[in-house]
Parts: sequence; C-alpha cells; structure tokens
Amino acid sequence: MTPFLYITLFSCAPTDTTSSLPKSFDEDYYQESEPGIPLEDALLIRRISFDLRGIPPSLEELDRLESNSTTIDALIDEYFQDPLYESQLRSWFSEWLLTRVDTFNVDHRDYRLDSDQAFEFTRSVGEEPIRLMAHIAKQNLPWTEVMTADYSMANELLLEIWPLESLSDTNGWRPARYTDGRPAGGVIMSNGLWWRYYTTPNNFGRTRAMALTDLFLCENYLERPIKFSAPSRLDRESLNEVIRTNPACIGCHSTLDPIAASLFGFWWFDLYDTAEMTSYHPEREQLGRYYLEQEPAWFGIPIDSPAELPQLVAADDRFRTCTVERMASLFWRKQISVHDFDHIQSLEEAFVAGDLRMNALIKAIVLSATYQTGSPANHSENADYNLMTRRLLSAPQIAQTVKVLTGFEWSSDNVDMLEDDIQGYRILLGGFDGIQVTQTARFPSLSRQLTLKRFAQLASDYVVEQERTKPFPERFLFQNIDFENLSASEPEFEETISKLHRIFLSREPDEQRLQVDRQFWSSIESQEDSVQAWKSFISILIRDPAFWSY
Amino acid sequence: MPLNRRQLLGLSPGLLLPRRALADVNERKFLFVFCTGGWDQCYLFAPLYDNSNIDMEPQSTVAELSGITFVDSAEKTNVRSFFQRYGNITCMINGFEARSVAHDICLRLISTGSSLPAHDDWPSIIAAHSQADPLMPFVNLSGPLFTHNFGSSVVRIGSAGQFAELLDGRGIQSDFPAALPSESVEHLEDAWVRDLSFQRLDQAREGREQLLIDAGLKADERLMRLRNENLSLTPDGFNHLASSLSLATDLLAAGASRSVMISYNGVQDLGWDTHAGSFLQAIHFNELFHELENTIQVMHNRNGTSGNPLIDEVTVVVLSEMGRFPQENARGGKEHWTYTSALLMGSGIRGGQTLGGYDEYCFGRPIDLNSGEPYNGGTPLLPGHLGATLLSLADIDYGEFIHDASPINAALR
Repeated sequence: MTPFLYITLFSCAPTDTTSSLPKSFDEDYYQESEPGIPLEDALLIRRISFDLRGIPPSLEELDRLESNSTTIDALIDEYFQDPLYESQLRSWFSEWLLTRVDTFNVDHRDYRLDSDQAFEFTRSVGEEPIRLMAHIAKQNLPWTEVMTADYSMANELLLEIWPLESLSDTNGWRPARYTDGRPAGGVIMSNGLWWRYYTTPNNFGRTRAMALTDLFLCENYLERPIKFSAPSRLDRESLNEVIRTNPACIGCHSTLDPIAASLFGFWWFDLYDTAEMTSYHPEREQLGRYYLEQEPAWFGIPIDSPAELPQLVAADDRFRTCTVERMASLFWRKQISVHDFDHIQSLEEAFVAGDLRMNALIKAIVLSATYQTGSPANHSENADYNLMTRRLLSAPQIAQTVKVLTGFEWSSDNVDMLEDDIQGYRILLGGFDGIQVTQTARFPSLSRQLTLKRFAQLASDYVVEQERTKPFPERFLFQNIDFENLSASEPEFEETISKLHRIFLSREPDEQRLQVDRQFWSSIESQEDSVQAWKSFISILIRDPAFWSY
Repeated sequence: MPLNRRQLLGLSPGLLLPRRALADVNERKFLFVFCTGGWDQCYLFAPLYDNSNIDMEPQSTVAELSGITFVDSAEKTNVRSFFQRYGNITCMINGFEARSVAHDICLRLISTGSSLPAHDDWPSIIAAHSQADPLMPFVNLSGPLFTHNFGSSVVRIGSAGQFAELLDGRGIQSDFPAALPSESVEHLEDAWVRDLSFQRLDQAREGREQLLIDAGLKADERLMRLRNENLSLTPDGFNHLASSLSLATDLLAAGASRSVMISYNGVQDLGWDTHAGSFLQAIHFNELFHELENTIQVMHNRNGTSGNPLIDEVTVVVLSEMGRFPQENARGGKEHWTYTSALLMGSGIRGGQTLGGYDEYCFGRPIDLNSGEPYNGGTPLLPGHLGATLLSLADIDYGEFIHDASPINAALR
C-alpha cells in the first residue's frame, strides 16, 4: 500500500448537517440580571491581594486602609511591585496556556538527567512560555513583546538541555536566547509552548495553528459550524483539493492552513525524538508550501518568512482584544459572553490608554464593577448564583499563602506535591493538569476539602513547632505566646486569636466566633495540650470558608 | 416556629445543584472506562477488508457474535470470548466524529460535547442529578475530568490512590517535618470547622457565598461519613485495570457512587497512542476485554442497591477520545483519526447489535438514530449524541445540556 498523508484539523465528513455544533454558550445562563453590590474595602483588598500576589493583605496594609492612610488604588500599585506579583501572574498564565502538564512526549531520561530531576524537567519545560509572559507583564513592557521578544526565559536546566544562551549573569530563571536559528517571536517561538501543543507529522501544524489562534486571538475554529460534503479520497493531494475548493472547508482552512504553513520550523518528523523536539528546523520552513499546498499567510496577509508571523499576530487587533478577554475571564472567574461586550470594550480602552501594558489592564479589571461584586443587588428568593460574589482560592493561592504565613511547603522528594498529579495532589486540591482537567475548581469537592484539611494540618504542625523554638522577636504568628502556659481566659489569648483571624481571614472575629474558638481550643488543650490547641487553631483558620473563598 | 438558615439548608441539599426528589436507590448508575490515547478502530470496530485505503489488523477476519460485528484475531481471544458471552448485552456504536485530532481537545469534546470550558462532562452531570444522594456521587479514579457547575459532586481519587492516602493519613510524605494530629483531635477539629462553617452560612449573603459554604459543608459532612465507611479506595498497582474495575464495582454496588470513571492506558501503561507499533492495540484490547468480562460476570453475580443483579443497575460505557488513521506510517504505527466508536453495555442498553459504521475511507457513516442503520441521509454522529444517550439513560433532560444532538434511540431498551 502506498503510504498517504492525511491532513486535518477537522475531518471532512460526509455530512449534510445544517448545524453540527453546540452553542458556544448558553445565553440565558450567562445573562447577568443585575449588577451586584461591591465588597467592602477589607474584603475587596483581600480579593485583590490574592489575585495579584496569591496571599491575603498584611496586617499593616489592612491598618493603613482602615485608617485611610492609603487607598485601594495605591495598594494595587504597591502590589505591582511586590515580588509575589510575578508568581501570581504565572498562575494566571498557566491557566491561560495550560502548559504545566505532567508529561511531555520525552522525559528527563531522554536528556540523561537524574531521576530526582524528573519533576524539575517537566515543570521547567511547561514554565518557559509562562515565565516569558510573566516577565513581560511584571516588567510592564508592552504586551506585544509576548509575540515579538527576541528572547525567551530559561533556568539552569533548560540552558543545559536546549540550544539557549543566557542573557544575564543571574541565577534561576532569566532571559535567554535560542541559538538554533529560530526567528524572534516571544512565546510562539518557544519550545515549551509547542511541546504542549504538538502536531502529528501528518497534521502539518494545523493543531498548532488552531492553538495559536485560540490562545491569542480567542478564535476557536472548533466552535465554527461545519457544513460540507464528503471528500472523494483520503490522500493528501485530494484532501488539499477539497480544502481549497469546498466552500465549507475553505471557511476554516483558508486561514488555518496558511498559518500552519508558517510553523514548519517546529514540525517534527518524529513525535518522540529528543533531537527533533529540542531544536528549531530552519531548513523545514518552506515545507509548508509543499505539504499544505498553501502559501504562508496571516488571515490573508502573505508571510515571506516565519519571522513575520509573530509581528502580524502582535499587530492584529484581535490579539489585543483576546488578551483583555482572557485576563478578564481569569480575574472575573467566568466565561466571557456577548453580555460582557461593553465591559470588555471599556477594559480594552484602558489597556490601549496604558500603552498595552499588563498592569494597566489588570488595574482596570480589578477596579471593574464585575470584579468587585460582593453580593447580589437585590435580596430575593431566587438569588443569582452565577454572579461571582465569591470565588474559591486556587491551589497555587492556597499554597502560596500557607508558604508565606507558615513557612510550610508541601514537597516530597523534590516534587511540589501541589503542582503535580502523578504522585501529588494538584487536581485533588482543585488545580488543573492542563490536559485532563483544564480549569481551576469552581466549587469545593470532597477531594478538595480533604486535601485542604491535610495540608492545613501539616502546615499548622510545622509552623507551631518552628515558632516554639524561636525567641519571641523572631516569631511571626505567635509573637507573645508562651505556648505551654497561656490559658483561654487570659487577655493575650483573645488578642492572639483576633490577630490570627486578621492575618488569615483579614477580619476580626465576632463574639460568637470567639466563643466557638475558645470552646474548641480549650477542648483540645484539655485532651492534649495547648501546643496542639494552637496547631488546631491554625489548621481551622485555613479550613474556614472565610479563608478558602474570597 | 420559623426555620433558621441552617435548618432550611438541612432540608434543601444544594442550591445550584439539580433539585432532588426522594432518594431513589433504583436509579441507573454508570461505569466509564476511558481508553485514553486513541484506540484503533481497525483492530475492533471497523472490519474494512479488501480495501487499499485501510491497513487492518494483520491476520484478522471479520466475525459476528451475538449481533456484534467485529475484527477478530488470534491475538485477541478475550474479545471473542467477551462477545460470545456478553454480546447480547452490548451495543457497539461506530462512527462518532470527535472533530479534532488533538488529544486534549478530543478528550474534552467526547466528554462534554463542546470545546469550551463552561461545560461539565457526562459523568459529572449524571452524578449531580442523582436522586439518591450517594456519598461520592462521581468517583474519578483516573481519566478526564471536565467540570464547571457540578464540580462539588466529584471525588478525584488520583491515579496513585492519593485520595485514599490522604483519607487514611498514614503514608503522607513531606520533606518538611510535619505530623498529623491524633484521631481524637481530628474529630474535634472537624466539629470546630463544622460549627464555624454553619456560622459563616448564617452570616453569608445570598448567592454564591452561600452556595460555596453550603458545598463545603456538604463535602466535609461526606468526608466524615466516608471515614466511617469501610470502603477501599486504593487501586492495586499490579493490575491497575482489574483492581480499578473491582473498586468501581464495589462503589456502585454499595450505592456509594452514581458515576465512576476509570482511565485505561493499555497493557503495562504502554498507552493507546500507537504512533509506532500498532500491534499493541491488539494486546490492549485483549486485556481490556478480559477484565471487562470478569467485571460483567461479577456484576451478574452481585446484587446492587435495588436487590437485583448489578448489571441491571449499571450501564458500562467504554470509549476512547479518538481513533487512528486508517493507514500505517513508516514505523508501523498510525496517526490520529477524528472518528471513534463506543461500547455501551448493561442496564438500559439494547444489546446484541452493532450500530453505525465506517465507509471505505474509514469515515463514520451517518445513521438513522431510531434504527441505528447507516445511510447517507442520516445523522452524523457527534459526541453530543453519545451524551444525549447517556443523559437520557440517566433520566436527565438532555436538552438542558446538549443543543446539537438527540439520543441514539436504537441503543436504548
């Protein structure tokens, strides 16, 4: 049998169906009946702090806000300068790109790395495009650099295994440039992106072209109606003919295939070959013309060289709009629909007015009414449960907060247990692996509550044991506590409880809550001891709905 | 006496979740077996012989047993054995078009009918609509999981049994020195969380704030119940498929779950994504059907919550997100193919029949949804048709979730 090549994004099925697609969204479902009432300041800054830094506001920040010595607006600007801002940006961008997957087609062994580098290898690959986006956002560079930057980001491991040269003398993640002849092109010239969104040898880059338009233009070809007749044959030439001449196929392939044709420098002959995957292949750039029988182009604009592709993406208005939609969707924790058109448009205006800097966009989003909604406008029997008055903390937000407040990180044998699913608990805690689970959990589930509980118990044990051994001035949570001798009736007890409430929950406990805390704390103290009672108290704060929803 | 919010919520399980009637122990349950990676229809579902377009399984022939037409070979004796024994309760449906050839997209499409994130997968929807309020409505042992509104119904076990590890508490690994509290302290902590959560609920504003706290409380409450149940939740690592199926059967028989999902990655986890070495497909199918046969046998011999054999309560769904291109590549493997098949068996299924089919190019053929017969003017099968069929079996108004397809009535008893 003569081997033939099949090319498809969608197959050209023998069908005369008039509409074969699901509705892209349920209009009724997404229609917001009324705008909500905004959160009060303390809870609003808590939401903003979580979304910009992955942690709650500090006591000092809450105090300043309460005493009117600062404003929400000013705190937002401070958060942009916080080192944790970039980390939280990476969390957002990982949900955008979905590149933090657990496996790629090759693994650490293919590069002769030690087994204890397995997790680092996988995470480094997936982090590359995320780090670049976060770097550009944090540095407040024009967002178009995501497409046009003549560098990527790399750590020691990537510098060792990929053809990259460091552009900085610093350690850790830093700007680096590929040396294999690939054009400048930001994330779309990064290995990390195309390892995640690979294409089979006979799909000729169409999957990647679709990923590119979906990720950066919010153009999802799969949501377009498909109406066409059967192709007569399966071989490449016949299918190319159908794609070029059948009006139904042309609708998608006339734009998709020319983009795919410009991505052949990344085309692999073998899906599992390290050499194929490691380097860009400038010598294959022209193969698209042969295999796809299409001239490279960006929605009708001819592309002479793949170096032009990133420039054209960056110059496309949809790239700007899509960035706004993606970020709004992430921060609002909802799918964007036609009902959001006005809001998106005003955000885009702010983005443009800010010279396409990410900080300007993010600031506009967190100041938007949709973001700040804290409760429905009208109390009624039929509350609008889709109004995002509260969100769940994401797995990275929980992990970051616990790390900052308790010092505890859940790792085991060099694996971040809350960033891994092979042996860890990422999905169980409500995270996503980018393939089988693709968005952060929106509701608490049994597995999430269990994972949160265990995490809280371990972290609280760790922090109390650590602080016990430290002199008072070096402590963070228990600065004036004599663990062994403080009783629940002493004033310091209530002071400490109140302070811990503010640290973890950004609010003071009311009398009712103090009573519950005192009662259970005393029960545990009498059953075990006061050290365990404090451990349990910290654990309970992390399991409090006021902690994990925001 | 007026009821406070806590009492009201005690009476009304779930706010956004579908309204439940009285507990119904007879409701249909579902076991999903997901062959992730893309199986080769030319090794089982598509007997397209004497066709230069198609590379069939070597040394295979077409066979028909108990109404099931399939690709038979000496490499897959367990397939033959299965259809001989259980073809009469099995419905093979051929020719679903996933509409993509990328694994992640196909996974989402075949599981939800949409490429957009704002959709729940079939097992989540089914579980969330349970009338029986099972302890763990949807247990995802492994495999795809797409949730949007019904995530609170899901218990993710983890492919290495992480959930059981966390539940038990022993064996939790951490590089940082940290220990869990004693069991008695843990009980007090749970009670503490419960009390404060009810306080939060009483103070919560209407809408999503209530909804989240309510869902958290219910999850915590189920967690406490679960600790008192003697359920094994750890698949045995040696024969992952067998032990996963056994665990799934236990959960369904006990009424602990309405949906269970298992991912099967082939013999020794070698995977179905055979870009090289298509012969692995036969080995995978052979093991799959061996374990399916054992499972169906157990389901025949074991009673479910209704007192009837479990097989009368459970619909088994076996699927893969995509098929494989009909011709082999230079490495003796096959690339991705947008068409795939599914097997439905057990409760509610009109067995002993093969619906749909593939044409000479291995494209799925349109069918008459009522007869299952392929014909050119028929309906091209999409993931939505599978979803509508499953939701219909689960007594759910499929139109609420699927707008582009209706059930394959021919598959329904």
